[in-house]
Amino acid sequence: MNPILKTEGLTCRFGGLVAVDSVDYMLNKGQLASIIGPNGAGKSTFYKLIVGVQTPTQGRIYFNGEDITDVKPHRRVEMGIAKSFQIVQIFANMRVIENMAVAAQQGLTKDSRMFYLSSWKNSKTIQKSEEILGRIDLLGDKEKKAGSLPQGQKKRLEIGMALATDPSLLLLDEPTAGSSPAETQMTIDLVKELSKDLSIVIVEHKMDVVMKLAERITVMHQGSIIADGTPNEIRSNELVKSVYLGGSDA
Amino acid sequence: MAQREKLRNIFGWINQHPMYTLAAILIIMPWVMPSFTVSTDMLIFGLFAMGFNILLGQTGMLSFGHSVFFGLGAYGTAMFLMKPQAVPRVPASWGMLGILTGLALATAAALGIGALSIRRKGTYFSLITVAFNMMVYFIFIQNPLDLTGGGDGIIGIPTPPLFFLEKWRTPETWYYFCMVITLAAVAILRIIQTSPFGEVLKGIRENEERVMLLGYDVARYKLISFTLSGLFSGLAGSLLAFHLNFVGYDTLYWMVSGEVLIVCLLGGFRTFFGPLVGAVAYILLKDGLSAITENWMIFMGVVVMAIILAFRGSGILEMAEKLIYRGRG
Repeated sequence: MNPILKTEGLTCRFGGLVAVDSVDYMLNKGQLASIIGPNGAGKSTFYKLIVGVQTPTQGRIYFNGEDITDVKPHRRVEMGIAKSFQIVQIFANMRVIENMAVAAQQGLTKDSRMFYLSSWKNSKTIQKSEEILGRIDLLGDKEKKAGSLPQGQKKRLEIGMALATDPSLLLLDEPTAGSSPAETQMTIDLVKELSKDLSIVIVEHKMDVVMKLAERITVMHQGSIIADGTPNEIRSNELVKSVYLGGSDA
Repeated sequence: MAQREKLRNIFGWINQHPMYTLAAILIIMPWVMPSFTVSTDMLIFGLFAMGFNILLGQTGMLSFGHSVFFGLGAYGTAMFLMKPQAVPRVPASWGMLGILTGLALATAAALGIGALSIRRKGTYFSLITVAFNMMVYFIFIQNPLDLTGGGDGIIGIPTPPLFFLEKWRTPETWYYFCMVITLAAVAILRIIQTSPFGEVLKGIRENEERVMLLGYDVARYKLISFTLSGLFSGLAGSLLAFHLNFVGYDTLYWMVSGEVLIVCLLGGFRTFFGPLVGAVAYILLKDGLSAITENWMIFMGVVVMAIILAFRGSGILEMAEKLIYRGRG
């Protein structure tokens, strides 16, 4: 099987601190995997490296077999990698539909002359935006200011905007953080739905969410992968237990 | 209250037809202002401020060195008309093309300065813009190749014929000429602002990393925004050269960069027409105060500060909108 994502010896050093330590990671097409680990394990940095916002000190990254280590972030998005943010990064002062339009029009009109001349209320962009808003159940709130939405809906908008770029690989960073139990369930259902067409990686702290969703769990600690396997294997892994029980994780 | 309802309706209509409203206001404006010349000052500085606000209000980048484009626009025009060694001589009737040369010089500079400045963000970006501003200022004072007139500036800039009209310029006709150009420029700015491109700029203002991770080449968008900003500032500068019949090095001074920022803050940099409102208010204040006292700058500073504090950071136009829509939610 051709892995959709592969890293070889991926390392990221900030002076004396090694945030990501020679990580060899592999994700197969269509998999729904999770990465867990205590705070400071290197999960967010790992994501940043894959997306291109952070340059690695060493190592290579492959997407669908292609070496993307030196490819710029916006190009990686065009190739099909999308990420949602841990701290919600939406355009708070713009309306929900505008947020989605900025995300959706990237693929549609960015290179055409009309991009500079027409109104963004171009039907194709709006159509695509409303379609995605429908999938994430935010269509009714499309005129509201994004900053005024409750946390759970903001998170869904966040995921929706990542979806609007038509990714084949979706990296989710704590998608249920700060959500109520009901909102968390909605997110779980949404991710399950999405995993039918996309390869997804979820960084999560809530173990019940991870257990419900992931086919495969990778455990990181101090920049390295200390365990990788099915949920059952991880649950009974001694090293993982000691890291979590003896450590500072919330 | 019935009054506020009526105001809201008027404001609503204005929001639907902003350009017609602006045209109407600009046509009538000089008749209620101290003079046509002062009104032209307002147009020119207002256009400069509108150009500046593409960068500040829309893209969220604060330049402290924008007078360089205003000044280069003016010098570009002046050099075209008065310095035969710089540019091939054209027949006198083509003189108004000077507007284009000023614009071109400012735009070229914006491309170059922009490419280097946007490599840094926030405070560092602002500092780099000041550095370039003062660099050009000092170069121009040296009068290199006798092109800039150094400390004396370039004087005696004529007003070339307009098409077939030889002596067409009076304060009145000159105002309306500038008004037509300003309206055209603002119309283009409006199209840019409401286009998908404009939405992306707003996104960059709100959340740069997010926009990048949506697949946009943010550096390229910032550069385009910077260049457009320089272009319109340069256009205003070109008009200034004709307006004053003179260009001096003080147009390039950093204080002018500060003035355009104050104008935007005063009028409301978060709104599209705010900078224009700010320019009118600023020049009116300047005109009024300088007639009363030699120390008008002190009073100017006090008044501007008072307004900004009283309105809690909103500009005049923003405050007006808040008051009219208060209680609407």
